[in-house]
Amino acid sequence: MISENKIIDYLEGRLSPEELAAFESALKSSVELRAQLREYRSFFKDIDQLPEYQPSKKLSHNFYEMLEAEKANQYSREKGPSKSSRIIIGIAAGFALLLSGFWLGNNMNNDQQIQLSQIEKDLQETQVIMLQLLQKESASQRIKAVNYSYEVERSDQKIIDALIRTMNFDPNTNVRLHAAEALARFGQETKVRDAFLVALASQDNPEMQIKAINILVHLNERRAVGEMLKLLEKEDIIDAVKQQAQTGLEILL
Amino acid sequence: MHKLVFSILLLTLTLSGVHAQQPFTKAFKSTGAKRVEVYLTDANVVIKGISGNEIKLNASGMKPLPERAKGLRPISRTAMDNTGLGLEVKESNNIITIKQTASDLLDISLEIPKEAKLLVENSGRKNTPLKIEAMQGEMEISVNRSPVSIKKAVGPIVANSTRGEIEIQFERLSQAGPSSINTVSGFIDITLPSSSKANLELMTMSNNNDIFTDFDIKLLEEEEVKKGGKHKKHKKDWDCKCGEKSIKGTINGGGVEVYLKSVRDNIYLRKS
Repeated sequence: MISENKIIDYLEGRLSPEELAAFESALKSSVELRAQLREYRSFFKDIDQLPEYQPSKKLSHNFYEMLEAEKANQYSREKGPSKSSRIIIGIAAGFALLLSGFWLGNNMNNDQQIQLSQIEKDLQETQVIMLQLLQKESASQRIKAVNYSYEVERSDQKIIDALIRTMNFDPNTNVRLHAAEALARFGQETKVRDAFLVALASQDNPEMQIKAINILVHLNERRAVGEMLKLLEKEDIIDAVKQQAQTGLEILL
Repeated sequence: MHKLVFSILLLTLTLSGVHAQQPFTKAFKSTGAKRVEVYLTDANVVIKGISGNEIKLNASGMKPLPERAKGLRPISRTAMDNTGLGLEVKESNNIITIKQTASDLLDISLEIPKEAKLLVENSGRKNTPLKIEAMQGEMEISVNRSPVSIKKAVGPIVANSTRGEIEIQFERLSQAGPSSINTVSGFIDITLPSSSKANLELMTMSNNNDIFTDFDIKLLEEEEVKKGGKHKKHKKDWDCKCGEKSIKGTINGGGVEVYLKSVRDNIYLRKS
């Protein structure tokens, strides 16, 4: 089990070569640790971006009191300031996390802070609305759900996953087509490219086949060549699809 | 002799009386939100919106059962004829589902409470027309080769045809949700009231096809400067043409999204 201090040390680059090797092998085998590391990393990033923040008197008082107590404790237990200072930094980092939690949780009158938490809030709201609308019986409402994904500028995994599911499995062709168009925006992600390859191989609807061809060609995805050649040879594929595949192959090859 | 003629006449009348039978009716359990789903395999269909809380169904075209099937009824994998018309009709949770069981080509006429939501799927591979009139709720249409004609619609409408044309006259354009009309080959011909507010996205993929309109469409670029809305801005920033010719713009200042897309046929958008 890797302690939180180890993670902090790792992020701050303070591990010895042996420790580093051990940590990295642990990282390879543990999904949990990777998730933890990601979390810490994003917290550290957030902390770096935080404006100067003065905690409330009581909070800071408690914090420094505890810090002092911990310091005294550590000094009494072991010698060597370097080790104990590392621990203190670790604790301080822990507290910084805690504080940043308070800080994100409370609505404080700092513009930058409001902006940051607003982006988070917007993202969460968009996710919730989108996932709810995707459950609707109405195809029109599900198209609306897909359109919500355009409000998110960075690639968000929850939204991408929802779009992939919709593109592959929505019962309505138009909804699947809209999802494919919205997904093309995230075409730089391998996961999304793979999803388009799956769509090309599995969708029977000619419009979906044409859409998948167009997007894969646009993304210059050479792995689509095999599937497109297959489409050309299949008998139950309509001409419009074959011609699109032909044009696509000429561009890709 | 006269007697014979008379009895033949009588027989004919009786037989035709059998044909002009009462429509099959099915009522909704409640007067709340209604939905009708129609799944067909081979049928010419006329659907009309009416007032009331029940559907009325007429269908003809089912061939008589073979002599040996007397007293039996035909079944299909997904449905069982319970109307004697080659169709199964069921109601559950205020959704009436109609499924074609007969493999014969049927002529179906259906009257439905006009505010009900309507879904029609015709998976048949013949160009059997689908005509819908005066349905004021949401519609979802999916056909292979059937030409689709919808009159006095309100929408939203999500319609898809592979090879049949889609012609829709809107009485007004509902702002409740996006409308999306797609075909592969088969023109799209849409009539909207001249005051309709919409964000349009019109697309054809083939160089041989065009988009025609008498609406004054404000192309997105112009509109963008004025509004600068986050949503629209981003949609414009990212525009994967992906080999597709699309026109984005607004009419009457913008409103609900209307997507008209044909892979290889023309698009006509008219004012009424």
